[in-house]
Amino acid sequence: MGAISWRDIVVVPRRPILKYHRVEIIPTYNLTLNSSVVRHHGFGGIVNFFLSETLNIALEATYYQPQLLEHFFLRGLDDRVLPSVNRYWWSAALNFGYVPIYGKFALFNKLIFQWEAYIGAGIGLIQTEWIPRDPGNSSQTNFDIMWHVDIGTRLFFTKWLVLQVYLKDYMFVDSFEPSQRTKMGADAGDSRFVNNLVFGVGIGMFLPTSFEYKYTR
Amino acid sequence: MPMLKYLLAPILVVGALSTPSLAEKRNPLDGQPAIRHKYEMRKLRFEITPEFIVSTNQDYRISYGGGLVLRFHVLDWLSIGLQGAYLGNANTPLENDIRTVLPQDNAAYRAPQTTLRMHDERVLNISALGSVFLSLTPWAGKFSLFSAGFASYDFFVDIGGGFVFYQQNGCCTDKGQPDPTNLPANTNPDPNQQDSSQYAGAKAAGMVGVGVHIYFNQWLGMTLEMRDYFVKSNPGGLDTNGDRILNGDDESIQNHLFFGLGLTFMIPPKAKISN
Repeated sequence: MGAISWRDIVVVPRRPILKYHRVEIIPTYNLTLNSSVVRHHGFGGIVNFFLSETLNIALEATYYQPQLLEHFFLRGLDDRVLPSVNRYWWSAALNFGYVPIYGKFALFNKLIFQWEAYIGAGIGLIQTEWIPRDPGNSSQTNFDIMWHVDIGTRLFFTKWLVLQVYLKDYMFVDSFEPSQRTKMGADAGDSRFVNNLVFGVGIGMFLPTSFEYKYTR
Repeated sequence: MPMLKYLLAPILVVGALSTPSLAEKRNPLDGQPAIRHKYEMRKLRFEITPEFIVSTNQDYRISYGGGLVLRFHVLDWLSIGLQGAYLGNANTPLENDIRTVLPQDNAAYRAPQTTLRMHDERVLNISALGSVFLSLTPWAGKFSLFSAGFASYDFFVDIGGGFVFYQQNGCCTDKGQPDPTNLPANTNPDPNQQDSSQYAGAKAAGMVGVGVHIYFNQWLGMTLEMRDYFVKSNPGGLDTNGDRILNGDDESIQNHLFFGLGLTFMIPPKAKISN
Protein backbone atom coordinates (compact mmCIF):
# COMPACT_ATOMS: atom_id res chain seq x y z
CA MET A 1 0.00 0.00 0.00
CA GLY A 2 1.46 3.33 -1.04
CA ALA A 3 1.72 6.36 1.17
CA ILE A 4 -1.51 8.30 1.64
CA SER A 5 -1.35 12.07 1.71
CA TRP A 6 -3.95 14.78 2.10
CA ARG A 7 -4.04 15.07 -1.68
CA ASP A 8 -5.91 11.73 -1.77
CA ILE A 9 -8.80 13.12 0.24
CA VAL A 10 -11.57 14.32 -2.05
CA VAL A 11 -13.84 16.88 -0.47
CA VAL A 12 -17.14 17.90 -1.99
CA PRO A 13 -18.43 21.00 -0.21
CA ARG A 14 -22.14 21.08 0.38
CA ARG A 15 -24.24 23.70 -1.36
CA PRO A 16 -23.80 26.79 0.80
CA ILE A 17 -27.32 28.20 0.36
CA LEU A 18 -30.55 26.23 0.12
CA LYS A 19 -33.64 27.83 -1.41
CA TYR A 20 -36.07 24.92 -1.61
CA HIS A 21 -39.55 25.97 -0.40
CA ARG A 22 -38.30 29.38 0.71
CA VAL A 23 -39.86 32.70 -0.23
CA GLU A 24 -37.77 35.62 -1.48
CA ILE A 25 -39.17 39.14 -1.12
CA ILE A 26 -37.42 41.81 -3.20
CA PRO A 27 -38.19 45.52 -3.28
CA THR A 28 -36.89 46.69 -6.67
CA TYR A 29 -35.90 49.82 -8.52
CA ASN A 30 -35.58 49.68 -12.29
CA LEU A 31 -34.76 52.00 -15.12
CA THR A 32 -35.82 51.82 -18.77
CA LEU A 33 -32.83 51.76 -21.10
CA ASN A 34 -33.76 51.88 -24.73
CA SER A 35 -35.81 54.99 -25.30
CA SER A 36 -33.91 58.17 -26.10
CA VAL A 37 -36.90 60.43 -25.50
CA VAL A 38 -38.48 59.20 -22.27
CA ARG A 39 -37.07 57.30 -19.30
CA HIS A 40 -39.22 55.54 -16.74
CA HIS A 41 -38.16 54.94 -13.16
CA GLY A 42 -39.87 51.83 -11.84
CA PHE A 43 -40.53 51.17 -8.16
CA GLY A 44 -41.92 47.80 -7.26
CA GLY A 45 -41.46 44.41 -5.78
CA ILE A 46 -41.09 40.74 -6.63
CA VAL A 47 -42.09 37.75 -4.53
CA ASN A 48 -40.41 34.48 -5.52
CA PHE A 49 -41.34 31.02 -4.28
CA PHE A 50 -38.77 28.31 -4.91
CA LEU A 51 -40.19 24.97 -6.01
CA SER A 52 -36.67 23.51 -6.03
CA GLU A 53 -33.11 24.81 -5.83
CA THR A 54 -33.34 25.92 -9.45
CA LEU A 55 -37.02 26.58 -10.24
CA ASN A 56 -39.24 29.32 -8.93
CA ILE A 57 -42.53 31.04 -9.62
CA ALA A 58 -43.00 34.73 -8.92
CA LEU A 59 -45.35 37.68 -8.81
CA GLU A 60 -44.12 41.16 -9.64
CA ALA A 61 -45.64 44.62 -9.70
CA THR A 62 -44.12 47.97 -10.67
CA TYR A 63 -45.21 51.60 -10.56
CA TYR A 64 -43.50 53.89 -13.13
CA GLN A 65 -42.52 57.52 -12.97
CA PRO A 66 -41.69 59.10 -16.37
CA GLN A 67 -38.86 61.52 -17.13
CA LEU A 68 -38.76 63.25 -20.52
CA LEU A 69 -35.18 63.33 -21.77
CA GLU A 70 -33.20 66.09 -23.42
CA HIS A 71 -33.59 64.42 -26.80
CA PHE A 72 -37.39 64.86 -26.69
CA PHE A 73 -36.88 68.62 -26.39
CA LEU A 74 -34.05 68.72 -28.95
CA ARG A 75 -36.06 66.91 -31.63
CA GLY A 76 -38.65 69.64 -31.35
CA LEU A 77 -36.12 72.44 -31.35
CA ASP A 78 -33.91 71.16 -34.17
CA ASP A 79 -36.33 69.53 -36.56
CA ARG A 80 -39.67 70.93 -35.43
CA VAL A 81 -40.89 67.35 -35.06
CA LEU A 82 -42.19 65.86 -31.83
CA PRO A 83 -42.19 62.09 -31.44
CA SER A 84 -45.19 60.17 -30.15
CA VAL A 85 -44.44 59.18 -26.59
CA ASN A 86 -46.35 57.14 -24.04
CA ARG A 87 -45.94 57.17 -20.31
CA TYR A 88 -46.23 53.92 -18.36
CA TRP A 89 -48.32 53.79 -15.21
CA TRP A 90 -47.96 50.33 -13.76
CA SER A 91 -47.37 46.74 -14.72
CA ALA A 92 -47.89 43.37 -13.04
CA ALA A 93 -46.83 39.89 -14.11
CA LEU A 94 -46.66 36.24 -13.18
CA ASN A 95 -43.13 34.91 -13.71
CA PHE A 96 -41.17 31.69 -13.90
CA GLY A 97 -37.47 31.48 -13.18
CA TYR A 98 -34.71 28.95 -13.63
CA VAL A 99 -31.17 29.00 -12.24
CA PRO A 100 -28.75 27.34 -14.70
CA ILE A 101 -25.56 28.86 -13.32
CA TYR A 102 -24.19 29.15 -9.83
CA GLY A 103 -20.72 29.96 -8.73
CA LYS A 104 -18.46 31.75 -6.34
CA PHE A 105 -15.81 34.38 -6.57
CA ALA A 106 -13.04 35.78 -4.44
CA LEU A 107 -12.93 39.51 -3.84
CA PHE A 108 -9.26 40.52 -4.12
CA ASN A 109 -8.40 36.87 -3.40
CA LYS A 110 -9.69 37.25 0.17
CA LEU A 111 -13.44 37.12 0.68
CA ILE A 112 -15.45 34.41 -1.03
CA PHE A 113 -19.01 35.15 -2.16
CA GLN A 114 -21.70 32.88 -3.60
CA TRP A 115 -23.77 33.97 -6.57
CA GLU A 116 -26.08 32.54 -9.17
CA ALA A 117 -27.47 33.60 -12.52
CA TYR A 118 -31.05 33.04 -13.56
CA ILE A 119 -33.22 33.27 -16.62
CA GLY A 120 -36.90 33.98 -16.46
CA ALA A 121 -40.06 34.76 -18.37
CA GLY A 122 -43.48 36.03 -17.50
CA ILE A 123 -46.79 37.37 -18.70
CA GLY A 124 -48.91 40.20 -17.35
CA LEU A 125 -50.53 43.55 -17.95
CA ILE A 126 -49.27 47.11 -18.37
CA GLN A 127 -51.16 50.41 -18.34
CA THR A 128 -49.83 53.15 -20.62
CA GLU A 129 -51.06 56.59 -21.63
CA TRP A 130 -50.35 58.99 -24.50
CA ILE A 131 -48.39 62.14 -23.72
CA PRO A 132 -50.14 64.43 -26.25
CA ARG A 133 -47.82 66.56 -28.37
CA ASP A 134 -50.28 69.40 -27.91
CA PRO A 135 -51.25 69.54 -24.23
CA GLY A 136 -54.65 70.82 -25.32
CA ASN A 137 -55.45 67.50 -26.97
CA SER A 138 -56.98 64.62 -25.08
CA SER A 139 -54.97 61.62 -24.02
CA GLN A 140 -55.76 57.94 -24.27
CA THR A 141 -55.18 55.15 -21.76
CA ASN A 142 -54.13 51.70 -22.93
CA PHE A 143 -54.15 48.35 -21.15
CA ASP A 144 -51.77 46.00 -22.95
CA ILE A 145 -50.95 42.34 -22.53
CA MET A 146 -47.24 42.25 -21.78
CA TRP A 147 -44.71 39.44 -21.72
CA HIS A 148 -41.06 39.49 -20.79
CA VAL A 149 -37.80 37.55 -20.74
CA ASP A 150 -35.13 38.17 -18.11
CA ILE A 151 -31.60 37.45 -17.12
CA GLY A 152 -30.34 38.30 -13.68
CA THR A 153 -28.04 37.44 -10.86
CA ARG A 154 -28.27 36.98 -7.10
CA LEU A 155 -25.29 37.77 -4.94
CA PHE A 156 -25.58 36.23 -1.49
CA PHE A 157 -24.36 38.38 1.39
CA THR A 158 -25.72 35.96 4.00
CA LYS A 159 -27.97 32.90 3.99
CA TRP A 160 -31.01 35.16 3.73
CA LEU A 161 -29.86 38.53 2.32
CA VAL A 162 -29.10 38.92 -1.41
CA LEU A 163 -28.44 41.62 -3.97
CA GLN A 164 -30.33 41.17 -7.22
CA VAL A 165 -29.32 42.74 -10.51
CA TYR A 166 -31.33 42.04 -13.65
CA LEU A 167 -32.15 42.94 -17.22
CA LYS A 168 -35.72 42.43 -18.38
CA ASP A 169 -37.12 42.89 -21.83
CA TYR A 170 -40.83 43.73 -21.58
CA MET A 171 -42.65 43.30 -24.88
CA PHE A 172 -46.10 44.51 -25.80
CA VAL A 173 -48.11 46.07 -28.60
CA ASP A 174 -48.91 49.63 -27.59
CA SER A 175 -51.09 52.34 -29.10
CA PHE A 176 -49.39 55.70 -29.77
CA GLU A 177 -50.74 59.13 -30.62
CA PRO A 178 -51.11 59.25 -34.45
CA SER A 179 -48.35 61.06 -36.36
CA GLN A 180 -50.90 63.19 -38.21
CA ARG A 181 -53.51 63.89 -35.59
CA THR A 182 -56.55 65.55 -37.11
CA LYS A 183 -58.73 66.41 -34.14
CA MET A 184 -58.59 67.17 -30.48
CA GLY A 185 -60.67 64.16 -29.49
CA ALA A 186 -59.84 60.51 -29.57
CA ASP A 187 -58.20 59.43 -32.80
CA ALA A 188 -57.39 55.83 -33.45
CA GLY A 189 -53.85 55.28 -32.26
CA ASP A 190 -50.91 53.91 -34.20
CA SER A 191 -50.17 50.39 -32.99
CA ARG A 192 -46.52 49.51 -32.55
CA PHE A 193 -44.58 46.66 -31.03
CA VAL A 194 -42.50 47.87 -28.08
CA ASN A 195 -39.36 46.38 -26.56
CA ASN A 196 -38.99 48.01 -23.17
CA LEU A 197 -35.60 47.00 -21.84
CA VAL A 198 -35.08 47.70 -18.14
CA PHE A 199 -32.14 47.39 -15.80
CA GLY A 200 -33.08 46.74 -12.20
CA VAL A 201 -31.61 46.21 -8.78
CA GLY A 202 -33.15 44.92 -5.59
CA ILE A 203 -32.29 43.76 -2.12
CA GLY A 204 -33.87 40.37 -1.50
CA MET A 205 -34.73 38.71 1.77
CA PHE A 206 -35.32 34.96 2.05
CA LEU A 207 -37.93 33.62 4.46
CA PRO A 208 -37.48 31.63 6.55
CA THR A 209 -34.10 33.17 7.22
CA SER A 210 -32.41 29.84 8.00
CA PHE A 211 -32.53 26.30 6.66
CA GLU A 212 -31.40 22.80 7.61
CA TYR A 213 -29.43 20.34 5.58
CA LYS A 214 -30.97 16.91 5.19
CA TYR A 215 -28.83 13.85 4.56
CA THR A 216 -29.77 10.49 3.16
CA ARG A 217 -29.44 7.68 5.72
CA MET B 1 14.57 15.03 42.76
CA PRO B 2 11.43 15.32 44.98
CA MET B 3 12.15 19.07 45.05
CA LEU B 4 11.98 19.23 41.24
CA LYS B 5 8.68 17.33 41.27
CA TYR B 6 7.12 19.96 43.55
CA LEU B 7 8.38 22.77 41.30
CA LEU B 8 7.04 21.23 38.06
CA ALA B 9 3.65 20.21 39.42
CA PRO B 10 1.94 23.66 39.18
CA ILE B 11 3.34 24.21 35.68
CA LEU B 12 2.00 20.86 34.50
CA VAL B 13 -1.41 21.57 36.02
CA VAL B 14 -1.65 24.96 34.32
CA GLY B 15 -0.44 23.49 31.06
CA ALA B 16 -2.94 20.65 31.23
CA LEU B 17 -5.81 23.05 31.83
CA SER B 18 -4.82 25.61 29.23
CA THR B 19 -3.89 23.42 26.28
CA PRO B 20 -7.43 22.20 25.39
CA SER B 21 -8.87 25.72 25.47
CA LEU B 22 -6.14 27.01 23.16
CA ALA B 23 -6.86 24.14 20.78
CA GLU B 24 -10.54 25.00 20.74
CA LYS B 25 -9.94 28.62 19.79
CA ARG B 26 -7.45 28.00 17.00
CA ASN B 27 -8.93 27.74 13.51
CA PRO B 28 -6.61 25.68 11.30
CA LEU B 29 -7.55 27.88 8.33
CA ASP B 30 -6.46 31.09 10.08
CA GLY B 31 -3.88 32.90 7.97
CA GLN B 32 -4.22 30.46 5.12
CA PRO B 33 -4.87 31.71 1.57
CA ALA B 34 -8.50 31.80 0.46
CA ILE B 35 -7.67 29.73 -2.62
CA ARG B 36 -4.88 27.15 -3.02
CA HIS B 37 -3.48 25.83 -6.28
CA LYS B 38 -5.27 28.44 -8.29
CA TYR B 39 -4.72 28.82 -12.02
CA GLU B 40 -3.15 32.26 -12.42
CA MET B 41 -5.24 33.21 -15.44
CA ARG B 42 -4.05 36.80 -15.61
CA LYS B 43 -0.81 37.63 -13.80
CA LEU B 44 2.00 38.48 -16.28
CA ARG B 45 -0.07 37.31 -19.26
CA PHE B 46 -0.96 39.15 -22.46
CA GLU B 47 -4.52 39.22 -23.77
CA ILE B 48 -5.74 39.74 -27.35
CA THR B 49 -9.48 40.17 -27.86
CA PRO B 50 -11.00 40.79 -31.29
CA GLU B 51 -14.55 41.93 -30.65
CA PHE B 52 -17.82 43.11 -32.13
CA ILE B 53 -19.22 46.26 -30.58
CA VAL B 54 -22.55 48.03 -30.95
CA SER B 55 -23.87 51.24 -29.45
CA THR B 56 -26.88 50.92 -27.16
CA ASN B 57 -28.05 54.45 -26.44
CA GLN B 58 -27.47 56.56 -29.53
CA ASP B 59 -30.19 59.07 -30.31
CA TYR B 60 -29.79 59.23 -34.11
CA ARG B 61 -27.55 56.47 -35.40
CA ILE B 62 -26.66 53.01 -34.13
CA SER B 63 -22.93 52.42 -34.52
CA TYR B 64 -21.55 48.91 -34.90
CA GLY B 65 -18.33 47.33 -36.04
CA GLY B 66 -15.19 45.43 -35.24
CA GLY B 67 -12.47 46.25 -32.78
CA LEU B 68 -9.44 44.94 -30.98
CA VAL B 69 -8.54 45.02 -27.29
CA LEU B 70 -4.99 44.42 -26.10
CA ARG B 71 -4.17 44.07 -22.42
CA PHE B 72 -1.15 43.21 -20.37
CA HIS B 73 -1.95 41.92 -16.90
CA VAL B 74 0.75 43.32 -14.65
CA LEU B 75 -0.80 41.69 -11.60
CA ASP B 76 -3.68 39.31 -11.01
CA TRP B 77 -5.91 42.32 -10.36
CA LEU B 78 -4.31 45.08 -12.45
CA SER B 79 -3.72 45.46 -16.17
CA ILE B 80 -3.07 48.13 -18.77
CA GLY B 81 -4.78 48.11 -22.14
CA LEU B 82 -5.35 49.61 -25.52
CA GLN B 83 -8.55 49.38 -27.53
CA GLY B 84 -9.81 50.59 -30.89
CA ALA B 85 -12.76 50.02 -33.22
CA TYR B 86 -13.91 50.98 -36.72
CA LEU B 87 -17.65 51.44 -37.08
CA GLY B 88 -20.52 51.59 -39.53
CA ASN B 89 -23.82 53.34 -38.80
CA ALA B 90 -27.54 52.72 -39.22
CA ASN B 91 -30.55 54.84 -38.29
CA THR B 92 -32.30 54.25 -34.98
CA PRO B 93 -36.03 53.42 -35.27
CA LEU B 94 -36.88 56.89 -33.94
CA GLU B 95 -34.60 58.48 -36.50
CA ASN B 96 -36.43 56.57 -39.25
CA ASP B 97 -39.75 57.84 -37.91
CA ILE B 98 -38.52 61.42 -37.86
CA ARG B 99 -37.09 61.22 -41.36
CA THR B 100 -40.42 60.08 -42.80
CA VAL B 101 -42.13 63.32 -41.73
CA LEU B 102 -39.41 65.84 -42.62
CA PRO B 103 -40.10 67.82 -45.84
CA GLN B 104 -38.09 66.68 -48.86
CA ASP B 105 -38.60 69.70 -51.10
CA ASN B 106 -35.47 71.79 -50.54
CA ALA B 107 -36.71 74.57 -52.83
CA ALA B 108 -39.72 75.06 -50.54
CA TYR B 109 -37.56 75.29 -47.40
CA ARG B 110 -39.02 77.52 -44.73
CA ALA B 111 -37.18 78.02 -41.46
CA PRO B 112 -37.16 76.88 -38.78
CA GLN B 113 -38.02 73.28 -39.79
CA THR B 114 -35.14 71.49 -41.49
CA THR B 115 -35.55 69.63 -44.72
CA LEU B 116 -34.62 65.97 -44.87
CA ARG B 117 -31.36 66.82 -46.67
CA MET B 118 -30.35 69.40 -44.08
CA HIS B 119 -31.09 66.94 -41.30
CA ASP B 120 -29.26 64.01 -42.91
CA GLU B 121 -26.16 66.03 -43.71
CA ARG B 122 -25.77 67.28 -40.15
CA VAL B 123 -26.36 64.22 -37.97
CA LEU B 124 -23.10 62.74 -36.69
CA ASN B 125 -21.98 59.17 -37.30
CA ILE B 126 -19.41 57.59 -35.00
CA SER B 127 -16.84 56.14 -37.42
CA ALA B 128 -14.08 55.14 -35.04
CA LEU B 129 -13.14 55.21 -31.40
CA GLY B 130 -10.24 54.19 -29.25
CA SER B 131 -8.84 54.39 -25.75
CA VAL B 132 -5.98 53.53 -23.45
CA PHE B 133 -7.00 52.36 -20.03
CA LEU B 134 -6.16 50.91 -16.68
CA SER B 135 -8.13 47.83 -15.72
CA LEU B 136 -8.90 46.51 -12.25
CA THR B 137 -10.03 42.92 -11.70
CA PRO B 138 -11.36 42.74 -8.15
CA TRP B 139 -13.50 39.61 -8.62
CA ALA B 140 -12.49 36.25 -9.97
CA GLY B 141 -14.01 32.84 -9.48
CA LYS B 142 -15.62 29.87 -11.12
CA PHE B 143 -19.15 28.78 -11.88
CA SER B 144 -21.13 25.73 -12.77
CA LEU B 145 -23.46 25.59 -15.78
CA PHE B 146 -26.34 23.11 -15.33
CA SER B 147 -24.15 21.50 -12.63
CA ALA B 148 -22.17 19.95 -15.49
CA GLY B 149 -19.81 22.39 -17.14
CA PHE B 150 -17.40 24.47 -15.09
CA ALA B 151 -15.58 27.63 -16.12
CA SER B 152 -13.41 30.32 -14.59
CA TYR B 153 -14.36 33.94 -14.93
CA ASP B 154 -13.39 37.37 -13.74
CA PHE B 155 -15.05 40.74 -13.51
CA PHE B 156 -13.16 43.87 -14.48
CA VAL B 157 -13.52 47.65 -14.43
CA ASP B 158 -11.77 49.87 -17.02
CA ILE B 159 -10.91 53.54 -16.58
CA GLY B 160 -9.14 55.54 -19.27
CA GLY B 161 -9.25 58.11 -22.00
CA GLY B 162 -9.27 58.22 -25.77
CA PHE B 163 -11.14 59.66 -28.70
CA VAL B 164 -14.38 59.42 -30.64
CA PHE B 165 -14.21 60.19 -34.37
CA TYR B 166 -17.37 61.72 -35.84
CA GLN B 167 -18.29 61.97 -39.52
CA GLN B 168 -21.23 63.54 -41.31
CA ASN B 169 -22.89 62.48 -44.55
CA GLY B 170 -21.60 65.24 -46.80
CA CYS B 171 -22.08 68.31 -44.64
CA CYS B 172 -23.28 70.73 -45.78
CA THR B 173 -24.99 71.70 -49.01
CA ASP B 174 -26.89 74.48 -47.28
CA LYS B 175 -24.36 76.66 -45.51
CA GLY B 176 -24.95 79.93 -47.33
CA GLN B 177 -25.75 81.82 -44.15
CA PRO B 178 -23.28 84.69 -43.77
CA ASP B 179 -21.38 85.09 -40.52
CA PRO B 180 -24.23 84.92 -38.02
CA THR B 181 -22.36 87.08 -35.55
CA ASN B 182 -22.16 89.94 -38.05
CA LEU B 183 -25.73 90.29 -39.32
CA PRO B 184 -27.66 93.53 -39.57
CA ALA B 185 -29.80 94.47 -36.60
CA ASN B 186 -33.21 92.78 -36.31
CA THR B 187 -32.07 89.94 -38.56
CA ASN B 188 -32.60 86.44 -37.26
CA PRO B 189 -29.76 84.09 -38.15
CA ASP B 190 -30.84 80.69 -39.47
CA PRO B 191 -28.83 77.91 -37.82
CA ASN B 192 -30.09 75.40 -40.40
CA GLN B 193 -28.03 77.18 -43.06
CA GLN B 194 -24.80 77.52 -41.10
CA ASP B 195 -21.74 75.32 -41.38
CA SER B 196 -22.20 72.31 -39.11
CA SER B 197 -18.98 70.56 -40.11
CA GLN B 198 -17.32 72.04 -37.02
CA TYR B 199 -18.91 69.20 -35.00
CA ALA B 200 -17.24 66.44 -37.01
CA GLY B 201 -13.73 65.08 -36.47
CA ALA B 202 -11.91 63.54 -33.54
CA LYS B 203 -12.99 64.55 -30.05
CA ALA B 204 -11.22 63.69 -26.80
CA ALA B 205 -13.22 61.32 -24.65
CA GLY B 206 -13.14 59.77 -21.23
CA MET B 207 -13.90 56.08 -20.98
CA VAL B 208 -15.20 53.82 -18.21
CA GLY B 209 -16.24 50.23 -18.67
CA VAL B 210 -17.15 47.00 -16.92
CA GLY B 211 -17.01 43.46 -18.20
CA VAL B 212 -16.42 39.79 -17.62
CA HIS B 213 -14.00 37.25 -19.03
CA ILE B 214 -15.30 33.69 -19.18
CA TYR B 215 -12.44 31.23 -19.75
CA PHE B 216 -13.18 28.02 -21.66
CA ASN B 217 -9.67 26.76 -20.99
CA GLN B 218 -6.29 28.22 -20.05
CA TRP B 219 -5.84 30.19 -23.27
CA LEU B 220 -9.27 30.80 -24.79
CA GLY B 221 -12.18 32.75 -23.40
CA MET B 222 -15.05 35.08 -24.11
CA THR B 223 -15.35 38.74 -23.14
CA LEU B 224 -18.59 40.62 -22.52
CA GLU B 225 -18.27 44.29 -21.75
CA MET B 226 -20.01 47.65 -21.62
CA ARG B 227 -17.99 50.80 -22.24
CA ASP B 228 -19.13 54.37 -21.88
CA TYR B 229 -17.28 57.01 -23.91
CA PHE B 230 -18.21 60.42 -22.61
CA VAL B 231 -17.39 63.27 -24.91
CA LYS B 232 -18.46 66.87 -25.54
CA SER B 233 -20.31 66.85 -28.84
CA ASN B 234 -23.48 67.77 -30.74
CA PRO B 235 -24.85 64.54 -32.28
CA GLY B 236 -27.69 66.29 -34.15
CA GLY B 237 -25.37 68.94 -35.63
CA LEU B 238 -27.97 71.69 -35.20
CA ASP B 239 -28.73 74.53 -32.81
CA THR B 240 -29.37 72.98 -29.41
CA ASN B 241 -29.42 76.05 -27.18
CA GLY B 242 -31.78 78.19 -29.26
CA ASP B 243 -29.40 81.10 -29.81
CA ARG B 244 -29.57 80.60 -33.62
CA ILE B 245 -25.81 80.35 -33.90
CA LEU B 246 -23.91 77.10 -34.43
CA ASN B 247 -20.85 77.07 -32.21
CA GLY B 248 -19.25 75.20 -29.35
CA ASP B 249 -22.05 76.22 -27.01
CA ASP B 250 -24.29 73.73 -28.80
CA GLU B 251 -22.10 70.86 -27.64
CA SER B 252 -22.72 69.07 -24.37
CA ILE B 253 -21.39 65.96 -22.67
CA GLN B 254 -22.78 62.90 -24.44
CA ASN B 255 -22.57 59.34 -23.17
CA HIS B 256 -21.91 56.78 -25.90
CA LEU B 257 -22.58 53.38 -24.40
CA PHE B 258 -21.18 50.41 -26.32
CA PHE B 259 -21.73 46.70 -25.75
CA GLY B 260 -18.88 44.44 -26.82
CA LEU B 261 -18.63 40.70 -27.40
CA GLY B 262 -15.18 39.28 -28.04
CA LEU B 263 -13.08 36.15 -28.22
CA THR B 264 -10.12 36.30 -25.88
CA PHE B 265 -6.74 34.68 -26.46
CA MET B 266 -4.28 34.53 -23.55
CA ILE B 267 -0.51 34.45 -24.09
CA PRO B 268 1.38 32.41 -22.97
CA PRO B 269 -1.25 29.72 -23.46
CA LYS B 270 -0.45 27.87 -20.21
CA ALA B 271 -1.38 29.46 -16.90
CA LYS B 272 0.83 29.02 -13.84
CA ILE B 273 -0.58 27.37 -10.73
CA SER B 274 -0.24 29.17 -7.41
CA ASN B 275 0.96 27.47 -4.21
